[in-house]
Order: sequence, then structure tokens, then C-alpha cells
Amino acid sequence: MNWILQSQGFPILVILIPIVGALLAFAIRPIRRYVAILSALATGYFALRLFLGGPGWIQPIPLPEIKAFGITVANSLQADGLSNLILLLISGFAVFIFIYSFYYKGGPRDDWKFFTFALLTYGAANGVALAGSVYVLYFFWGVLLVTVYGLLFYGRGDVEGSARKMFLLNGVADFILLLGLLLLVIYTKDQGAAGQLSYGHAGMGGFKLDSALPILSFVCIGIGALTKAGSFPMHTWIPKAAETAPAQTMAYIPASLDKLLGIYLFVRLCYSLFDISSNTAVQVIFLTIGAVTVLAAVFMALIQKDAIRLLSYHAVSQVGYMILGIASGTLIGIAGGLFHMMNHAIYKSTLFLAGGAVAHRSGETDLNKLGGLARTMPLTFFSFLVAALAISGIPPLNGFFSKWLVYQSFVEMAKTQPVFILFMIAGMFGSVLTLASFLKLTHGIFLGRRPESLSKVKEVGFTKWFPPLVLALVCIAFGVFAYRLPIRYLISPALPAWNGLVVGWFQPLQFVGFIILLVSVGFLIYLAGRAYAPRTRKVFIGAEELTETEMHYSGPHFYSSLKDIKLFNEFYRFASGGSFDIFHYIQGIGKAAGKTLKQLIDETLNEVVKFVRYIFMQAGGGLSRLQTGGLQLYLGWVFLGILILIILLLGGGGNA
Amino acid sequence: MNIPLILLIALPFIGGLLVIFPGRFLRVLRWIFGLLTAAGSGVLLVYIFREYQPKIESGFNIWTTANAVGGFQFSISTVSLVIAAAFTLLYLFVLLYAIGYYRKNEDADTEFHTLSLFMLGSSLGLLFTSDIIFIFLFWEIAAVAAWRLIGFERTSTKIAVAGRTILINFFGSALMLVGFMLLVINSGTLDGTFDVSSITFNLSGMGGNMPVLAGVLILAGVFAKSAVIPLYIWVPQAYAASPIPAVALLAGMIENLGLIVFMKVFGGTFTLSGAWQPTLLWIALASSIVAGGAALVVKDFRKILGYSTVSQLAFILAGFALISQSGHVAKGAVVFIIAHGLAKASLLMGYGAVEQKMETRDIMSQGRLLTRFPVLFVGIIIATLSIIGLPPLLGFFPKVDIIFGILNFKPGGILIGVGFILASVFTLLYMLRLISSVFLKGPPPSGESRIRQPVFLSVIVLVLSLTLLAASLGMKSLLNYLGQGG
Repeated sequence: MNWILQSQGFPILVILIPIVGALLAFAIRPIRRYVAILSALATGYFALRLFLGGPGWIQPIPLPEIKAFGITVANSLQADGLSNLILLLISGFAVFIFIYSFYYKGGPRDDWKFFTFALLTYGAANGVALAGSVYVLYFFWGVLLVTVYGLLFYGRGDVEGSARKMFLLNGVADFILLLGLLLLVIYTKDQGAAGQLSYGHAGMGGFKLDSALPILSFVCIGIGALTKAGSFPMHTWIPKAAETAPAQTMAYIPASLDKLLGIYLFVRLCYSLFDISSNTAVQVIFLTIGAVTVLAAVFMALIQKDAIRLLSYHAVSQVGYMILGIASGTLIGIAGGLFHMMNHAIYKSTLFLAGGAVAHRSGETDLNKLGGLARTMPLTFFSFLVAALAISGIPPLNGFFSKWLVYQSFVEMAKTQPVFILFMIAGMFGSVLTLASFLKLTHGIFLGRRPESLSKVKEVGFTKWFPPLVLALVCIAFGVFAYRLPIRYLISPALPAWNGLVVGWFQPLQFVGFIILLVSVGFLIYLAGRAYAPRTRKVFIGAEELTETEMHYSGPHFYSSLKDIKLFNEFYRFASGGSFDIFHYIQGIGKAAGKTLKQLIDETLNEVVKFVRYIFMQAGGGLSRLQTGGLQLYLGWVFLGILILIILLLGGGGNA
Repeated sequence: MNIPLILLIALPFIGGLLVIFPGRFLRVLRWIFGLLTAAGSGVLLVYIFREYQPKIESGFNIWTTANAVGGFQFSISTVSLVIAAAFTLLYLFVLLYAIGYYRKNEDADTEFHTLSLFMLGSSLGLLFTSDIIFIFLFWEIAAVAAWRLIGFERTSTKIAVAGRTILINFFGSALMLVGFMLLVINSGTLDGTFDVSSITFNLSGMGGNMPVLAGVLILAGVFAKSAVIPLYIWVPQAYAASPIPAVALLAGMIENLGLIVFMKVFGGTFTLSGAWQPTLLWIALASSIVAGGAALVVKDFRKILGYSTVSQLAFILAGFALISQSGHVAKGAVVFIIAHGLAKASLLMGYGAVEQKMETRDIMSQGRLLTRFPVLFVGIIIATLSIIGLPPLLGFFPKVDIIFGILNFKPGGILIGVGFILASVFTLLYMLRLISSVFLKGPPPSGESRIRQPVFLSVIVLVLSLTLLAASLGMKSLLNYLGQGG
């Protein structure tokens, strides 16, 4: 047993500790919260040790192997730079989420579901990150589907609907992924070790997408990965889940874990397995998915009135940037995609957690009923604001920097194919709209007039403000010291082929100086302005003095006018009718196909059986008429029989 | 003579007869004989498992022909041993369930216990024999027992359904018998003369390419018994008409017998060349998709489960159809028989318990039963996930293995494989629909708070489902063990 505490046992431990923790949390309910935090800390410790230990660990694990048709797929766990990075991030988020969930007074009583399933999910996610071969990957991937399904049953309202939607969309995608992975095994069976996840590992040496088999495999795995990441058009379960699941679930699953894993697999696909830039058609398809994801989701976000739902659309839209970066196939783009994945997980968890804190205190997530909470919830407001700026790509925050890397990849590609610059423009446009929607969100929650009903709202307790605050500080640190911290210590080890070079002029530190200068100038102007106090006048309409409530015009109202623009109007009508929802398509097509098959084949076969039965009954009826029970008739039969026998015997006698 | 093996096959028949006579007077005796038989079979299986050395042939003959070629009429293999263990386990669970299910119905169960033991006996016999005569004998015992059990309640509609079942099965088995005879003639008259003493009935003495006509005729029997398109048509109605414990045995045990014969004849004995394999794969695919589609629209949950069985057995058929090509034991298909049998029996018994309590089996008229039947729900969802084929449950491994094998098949394997992925998606859809509409969706049931969870039945379903989880932990050693036989 000693080996398990040596470094080669760590991968097993990071998978097992959360699972054991989940069983404990389920079995001994009173200690579930402590178990969760302790498991996350312990797992985090081993993940950190693995990360510091560097890449190079591969070991078979006791799962049955695919061994057929002369192909053996060994089952291995591996801990290379990329896996280690993902492991570390998963554990980091888990710690914050579990601290945040420590006290959840007033929430649904059955929060053992959250802790049990979140821990199971955590363990399975570590398994995915450590998988060295396709079989292990799919194993944990499938477990994840089940555990997230369970996790979504914790919440309020139509939890079953959310869970079913998630299960259906992800389940279908999982089978497509399975197809892709098995095709990969077939494609790689001549490569010595079939079905490994790290072929072109030393650099961009992935397989070329030059025939049907690798392309099919690539597309199927891509669908699986991007569905997990929550990309358009398989994203629709995320806004639905936002209606029922509490903030910590949203922060944990769609915002951090699913992005980490989906993008992880997508990076593996484009970087370690295949070379996406070897087939422009495939590349353009995936880039388009990325661009559409950015824009479609951000448009939907703009008109949302519910804070958590709005955030959930951004959890979709940001995936687009990661896809854009990684599908660009350039090292800098992949680095940008990975960095964006990390940043997104950080600021989106911050947003969900801070938004959840507001919901926790005010009991409200409708933007029209919120407002003016900045003063009473300063820490939450600060975290929220930083994260909102980061997601909008405002320098010098981390979100800007990763988008910057992604854009650079397009600048690089545009040198040969100017068309690619379109994707960059789409991304930038999305960024602007993101900023717009966050102005609305921040204004709606924290600024503006505070409604009467919220007069008693206080700042949340330590466990609720601490995690978002730390994460917000990380947003700043990762932006300001982008080269020094995250790029050098996190991204570079995950992408050994990348030299860490970024072209262009952007230097975060100088930029911070610049911003500080600008802000001070602004502050001076503000101070100067205060010296000349404006005169205040009363406002009247029809000789009636307006109260403050009547004069109030909430921020979100401003954005609903977007719906009235002719072009967007159609889009929103289409989208809100569920027409973008592939969930309904899958269900509908399934039902229709089922009905057709049943009518066409099943019913027909039934009729055939009935018909055969009818024929036999008729024949039987005819025969039974020959047996009336009357003695004369039977005697007649006997004579007839004897006659036939005699004829046969006489006729055939000569031959016998 | 291999005494333990003889005992293993004979024991259920003896138990079944014992149930009839003393069991008539004292009800407990029926249960005791049933349990004793299951326990005895278990002990014998463990004994055989410990004694038996893979690759050393072990078995016995009832009679020998003058110049018999091939092995024993009854012999042990790792595959038959593993499936026999699963069948015995399944029988035990169904027996316990039936005891609870018929608690209030004094007289209902004498016939049930006898017939279910005959089912077990014929299944075990069929597993261990490679002799055509015995295969046919056990095959027909199983068919008659199934016929009696389907029409168990003796209402006119149920008798009609049972009649339909036996007719379709009989149609298949009659053709199969002709097919077997063609095989015998084929192998017995190699030198052109027909000499009774040279006839071999033992499959293991035959070989060569599968003769087309004989193969097609045998397939008719296999398709009828194992519910493959177009002869699956008896299944949904039979599921709807029979008592639940009988349906559980039907799904978990009897319907697999066709596939086991298929494995013995097509995989183990003759080589499949030419169009055999692609044809079989396409038929399996059609069967799986048609039944999966039908399961998505019917509203009676027994029928849903019936169509589901059809769609899952097609995976097993595809798995066995690949045997010859790879030269390996179709481990995936063998494990799938076990995984599907246990999970489907668990589902049937679980939903059967719901039906007994709620007195309806329309999935649309129920909802949010999770609050009423929590233990049952856990059992059912485990089985559901296993049938969908999700890790870490037992259904996952064989499904992946079979689809992988199909994708590897040339020509057209990738197309058929994509089709089977589609069939898996259908499975996901109808299973999710079933469990959602019965247990999760809708408002919590109001009113009749008298309805309580049937504890005994729920625990049985739960434990049976947990074996799926436990078995997947021992998956690696199971596969290794199966591999030794090949």
C-alpha cells in the first residue's frame, strides 16, 4: 500500500478521494459539508503535487481493456502538462464552491444531494482529466453524465425538466462521442498504441484530416467535446438549469467543470490527436460554430430579465472564444483558448457566486426588482464588478488578455487567408455586446435606485463573500501579471510546444499604469465638477409631482427596446419559441421516427400475423365441416381412404 | 460421467415436480422447494466452477453412436458456466419476488413455481448441451412452459395472446428442426450413403461452411425465440398479458435461449462466409431500431419494456454474428446477455410492483412516484442506466465492445455501427421517457396516501440492480475468465 502515497499513486488518489468523500457525505449526512471541504483540500493537495511534479506519468489501471480484432487498447492514466493543469483547476474551483456552499440557509433542505453528487462529479472529472486512452476517458465521461443528472435534482421548481434536458442532450452527444472515439481506435490501430490520447504530443504532430475516417472521428469527438463545453446549438440545457439550480451548482457545473473538461478534450482533439489546420473545411465549420456561439448567446443574454439566466447565456457565449482560439489551430490560439477557459471559469464562477449571494440575501433574481445594492453589499459588488469587467474583455483584466491571444491567432492566420479576420471581428463584436449586457446587469443589481423591498438586505456572511472575492482578485492578478504568472506557470507547461511568445505591443503592466493615470484624471474632473453643485428642480407631469418610484426607469427596460428592432425581433421570436432548442428537435424527431416505424413495420407485421391466423382459421373451419360427427360421413371417409390405399398399392406395386 | 453437471441440470426438474405434489397442500413447501433448488444449483455451480479447468473438456454422454465424432453431448465451458450462474441468480430473485408478489393470492403460485423451475432447468440444459436432439428437447420444454405462464391468468384475451406466442414460436422451432435435420444429413452423408450409425447429432462434430438453407431455417427458430424482426411480434403482447414474474423470466432467461443456440450453431460450429455476417448485422440493426422507435411511442410500460428487450437482444445478436470473423469468444455478447437479463428483470419487477400498487400501467397516468417508492426508484434507475449503457454499470462494457466490433467489420461496418449508435440513442430516449413519466415528472401524487412502498419487493429489485454495479467491478476478471475458454 505504500506505493499509493508515492507519486505514482496520486492519480488514483485524486479520483478516489472525492468518490469516497461522496459516499461518506451520503452515509453520514451531518458531516457532509466538512467532508466536502476536506476532500477538496486533500484532492487539491495531491493535484498540486502532481502539477509540481511535472509531466511523465503513465500507468495502466484495472479497467477491462478493449481487446478485439487484433487491437488492444491499454487502459492508462496519464499526467502530462495539460492534464495536470486541468486537475489543478478543477480542485481549485471545488474548494471555493464547497466553501461557498457551506452555509446555505433557506435553501432546499436536501442539500446532501448537492454534496454527494458534486463530489462524485468532482472525482469523475479528475478521471476525465487523467485519462490516457479513449476507453478510460469515455468511462469517466459517462459517469459524469449520471452524476450531473443527479446533481441537477437539487434545486427549486421543475428540477426534473432541467435534469432531463441535460441528460438527453449530453447523453446523445456522449453516444456521438463514443462513436468518434471508437473510430479513433480503428484509425490509430496501426500506430502501435491504439486509442491513446497523446499522439502529436511533442508538438503539432497530430494526424492529418485527409480521409473520411479521421474526419468523421474528429467531427464526432468534436461534437462530444463542444456539447460538454456548452456550445451552440447543444447549449440549451444551461439556461434551463439556471431556472432551477442554485448558484453554486451553476458556478460548479456549466461555468467551471464542463468548460474545463469540454475544452480540455477539444484541445486534445485539435492539438494532440489531429491537426485541425490540415483541413480548412472542417476548420471553418468549427470556427463558425465558435463565432455563432459567441453572437447568438450574447444576443439572448441581452434581453434576459433574470440575473442567473442572463449569466447562464454568457456561460455559453464565452465558449465561443475558446472554440475560436483552439480551432484556429495555431499554438498561440490554443494557448489563448486554454487561457480563456481558465479565465472564464474564474470570472464566471465569481459572477454566479456573487449573483447567488445577492439572490441569497434578497430572495430575488429578477433584475426589475433588484437595484442599488452596491452600498450594502460592497464586497459582493466589488467581486461582481471586477468579474463583469473581466468577462467583457476590459484591460488589464484576465478576460482581455486571453481574448487578445485568440485575436492574435487570427491576425496570424489572416496573413495567408484574409477571410479569417471575419472571425476576429465576430469575437470583438461579441465582446462589445457582452459589455453592454453586463452594464445592464451590474446596473440592475447594484446601482440605480434600491426598491423598498430590499431595504433590509445586508452583506452576506464570510463563506459567501470570501470565495468570489478571492476569485475576483485572481482575475486582476491574472490580467496584470499575465506573462509572469498564468502564462509562465500554467499555460506553458500544458503546451510544451509553445514558446510563450506573443507578438504585438500589449504589455499589461504599462497598461495598468496608463489606466491608473486615466482614472486619476477622471477622478480630478469629478472632484472639479463637485465644486459647482448643480441646481435641483422638482419634476412635474400634469401639475403632479412625481414620486421617486414613478420616476424610476429600470436599466433592463432600456434593453428590451432591442427586441423592437425589426431584424432582432424575428430572431428573438424564433429563439424564444424554442426553435433554437435542439432538445425539442431530438425529442420530436425521435417521436416521429418511432411513430413511423411502429405504424410502418410493427403494425404491418401484426396484420400479417392476423392474416395468417385468419387463413388457418378458415382452413380449419373448412376441415371441421368435413367432420360433422355423423356416422355416414365418417364411413364415407373410411371407404374413400381404403380406396386411395388400394389404388396406391396397386399402382405402385410394380415398382416396389 | 460428470455427476455434478447431471445434477445441476436435473435438479430444477426434480424441484419442479416436487413443487407440484406436496406443494399442493402446504404453500410454504413450494417456496422451500424453490429456494432449495436455487441454493442447490448455486452450490453445484460453485463446485463445478472450482473443479473445472478451462481447455480440458469435461462433460458426459447420455448415449454414444457407433462412430461418434466430436465431444460430449453435455459439456462445460466458461461461457456456459457464467451464463448458468447468471440464470440461477436471476431465478432466485424472481422466486423471491414471486413469493412477495403472490402473497395475497393463495392458489396462484403452484403452477408458477413448477413452470419457472422447468424454465430454469431447460435453460441450464440448453446451455450445457451441444447435441441437437437435446437442444430441441430443452427448447420445446421452455416454449411450453412459457406458453403456460403467459396464459397464466386464463382470461380469454390472455389465452389468445399465449396461443399467438406458442404459434409463432412453434412455427420457428418447426423450421429450426428441419434445419437441424438438414445439418445432420449434411454431416452424416459425406460419403454419399446414409447410414444411421454414422449420423452425428453432436454439433461439435460438425463444421465447415454453414449450408444456406439449413442456416435460414435455424434462424427462423432463433428469431422467433429471441424476438428478432420480423418474428418479434409476439413479445409486446406477451409482456402485457403475463404475470410479472413470468415476464421477468421470459426477458432474462427464455428469450436469450435463441441467441445461445445461435452462438452454439453459428458461432461455435460453422463458419459464416459470404453474405451471412453483413445480412445478420443489418437484420439486427433493423430489429433494434424498429423496436426502439416503437418503444418511444407506446404508453403501456410493459410494452415499452417488451420493445426494449427486442431492441437490446439485437445488440447481442450482432455481437454473436461477429464471432467467426474474430475467432474470439464473443465476450461482449455473453456479458450483454447477463447485463441485459438482470437489468431487464429488475426493471420489469420494479415497474410490476408499481403497477400492482397503482393499478395502472399507463405511463401517462402516473407521475412523481419517486416520493412514494424511493427504494424502488433507486433500483430502477440503476437498471435503467445500465440498459442505456452508461458506466460504471454492467451494461456499459458489452455495449461498447459490440459497437466497437461492428465498426471494425468490413464491409459496411462503419455504417452499421453508426446505426447501432442511433439505436443506443433510441434506448436513451425511451428509457428516459419511461422513468421520467412514471417517477419524476408532474405534480406529486395526492390523495390515496394508503399506497405504501412494497418494501420486500423494492429491496429485491434494489439488490438485483446492485449486482449490476458489483459485477462491473469484477468485470476484468470476468472477461479474463471468459477468454480462457476461447
